[in-house]
Amino acid sequence: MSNSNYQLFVVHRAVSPITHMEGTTGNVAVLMRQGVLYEGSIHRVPCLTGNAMRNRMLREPGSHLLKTRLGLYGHLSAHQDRFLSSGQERSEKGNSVDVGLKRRGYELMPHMRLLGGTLPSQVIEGRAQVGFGVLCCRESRTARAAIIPHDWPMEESDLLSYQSMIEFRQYTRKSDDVDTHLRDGEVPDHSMMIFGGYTLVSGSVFVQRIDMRGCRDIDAGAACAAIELWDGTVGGQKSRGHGHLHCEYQLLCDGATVEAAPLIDAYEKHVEDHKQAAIDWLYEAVREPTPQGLASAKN
Amino acid sequence: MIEAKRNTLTMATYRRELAGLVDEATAASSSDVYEVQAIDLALCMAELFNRDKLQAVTLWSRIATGLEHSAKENSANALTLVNGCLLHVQADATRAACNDRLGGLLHVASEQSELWARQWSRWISGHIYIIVAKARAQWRERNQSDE
Repeated sequence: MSNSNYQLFVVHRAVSPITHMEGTTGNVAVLMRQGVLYEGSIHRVPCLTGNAMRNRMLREPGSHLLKTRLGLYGHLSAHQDRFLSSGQERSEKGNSVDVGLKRRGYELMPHMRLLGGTLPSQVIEGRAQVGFGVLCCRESRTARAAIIPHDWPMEESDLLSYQSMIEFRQYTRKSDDVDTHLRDGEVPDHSMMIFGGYTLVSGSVFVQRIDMRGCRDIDAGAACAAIELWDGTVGGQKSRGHGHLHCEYQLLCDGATVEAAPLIDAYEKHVEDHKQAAIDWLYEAVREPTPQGLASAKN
Repeated sequence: MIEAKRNTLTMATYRRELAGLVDEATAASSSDVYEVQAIDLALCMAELFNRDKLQAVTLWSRIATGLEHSAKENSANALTLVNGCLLHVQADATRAACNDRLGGLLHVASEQSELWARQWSRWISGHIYIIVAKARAQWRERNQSDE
C-alpha cells in the first residue's frame, strides 16, 4: 500500500454562537484568538485551535467508531479507554522504543497512525497536522490565502471585520446548593450570580487545513469517517451550551481532489477485517500500569 | 456504513459562504460617517431631552444608555433606532417635529439600507463613550458660541 500526502480543506459555519474560550477575566469568558498582521498592525482575531479541533472533530468520533465496531465498550480498562479517546499519558519511566509494536499498531489502527498516542513508556507520533480554524474576516485575508487550495482565487470584496462578529452575552445562575445547606427557619437566598462572556455570532465562517503526510488511503479514510461522525460541537461550556458548527470538506491527494466515500469504505473494511488483531494489539500495547511504574513515571 | 455527506465542498460553495460575509457597507460608508451620524443623534437627544420629566444632571448618562439600548433593540432599522433614542429621553413630540437637526438625521437614516443600519448600530454599540464625549464637546462649544 503506497503512501501519499493528503490534505483536508474544511469550511465550518457557526450555527450557534461560538464560545471557544481562551480563559476568563473575573467572571467574563474571553474568546480564543490568534494574532494576524493586517495593514501594518497585529489584530487578535478569534479562532478555533487545532488542538481542540483535533480532539473534537477527529479523535473523539474516531475512537467512538473504533470502540463500536470492535465491540470494546465495557471491555476496556481506564487506560485503554483513555488511549483511544484522548491519547493517554505516560505511566512508566524511560522511553523504551518497541519498533515492532509501533509498526503493528500503525498497520492495524489507522486512527492511531493518524493521531498518535502514548503507550505506557513510548510516545507514538501521529501523521495528522491539524491547523487552526481561521475566521473568515477582513483582517485574516493573508492567513486564509495560505490555507485555501492554491488554485482558488481570493475574494475581491472586503469581508466584515472580526469586530462586527463578536457579541457579549450575560447570564445569571443560581446555585442549587443554597437550599440544601439551609438550617431550619433560614430563608433561601436566591440571588443570581452574574457571569458572561464574548461569543462569535452564528453565521461566522472558519477555514481549516489538515495535512496528513505519508498516509495510506485508509488513514485518510479514518479522518474522513471521523469528520462524518462528528456532531459539530466545539468549545463552549456546559453552562453556556454554545459551540455548534456545520462543516463541509474537500479531500486532496497530492494536490488533486479525490472522493472521500471509497476511502471511508476502505477504512471500514479494514477495521472489520483486522478486528481481532487490533483488539489483541490494544490489550498488549496498553497494559495496566503497575504502582512501581506509575511512581517512576512521576519522578 | 458511513456516508460521505460532508464531502461536498467546492470552490463555488466556499465562495457562497464568503458572499454572506461581504462588507458592502465599507464601500458605501466608513466609520467617519457612522461617527458623524451618531454624534448628530446624540446632539438631537440632548436638544430634545425632556427636562420637565427627567433630571438635567442625568442628561449624558441617559443619552449613553439610550444609545446603548436602542442600538441593541433596533439594529436592523436606522429610523427605529433614532425613535428608540428619543423615547429614552422622553422627547416632546412638538419639539421633535420642529427640530431641524432631527429632520436632517431622519432624511439620512431613511435612505440607508438594512445592512448600513446594522453596521451603524454595531458601531454605536462599540463607541458609546466616544459618541457621548464628542457630542458633549460639540454641545458645549455650540452653547459657548451662542453666549
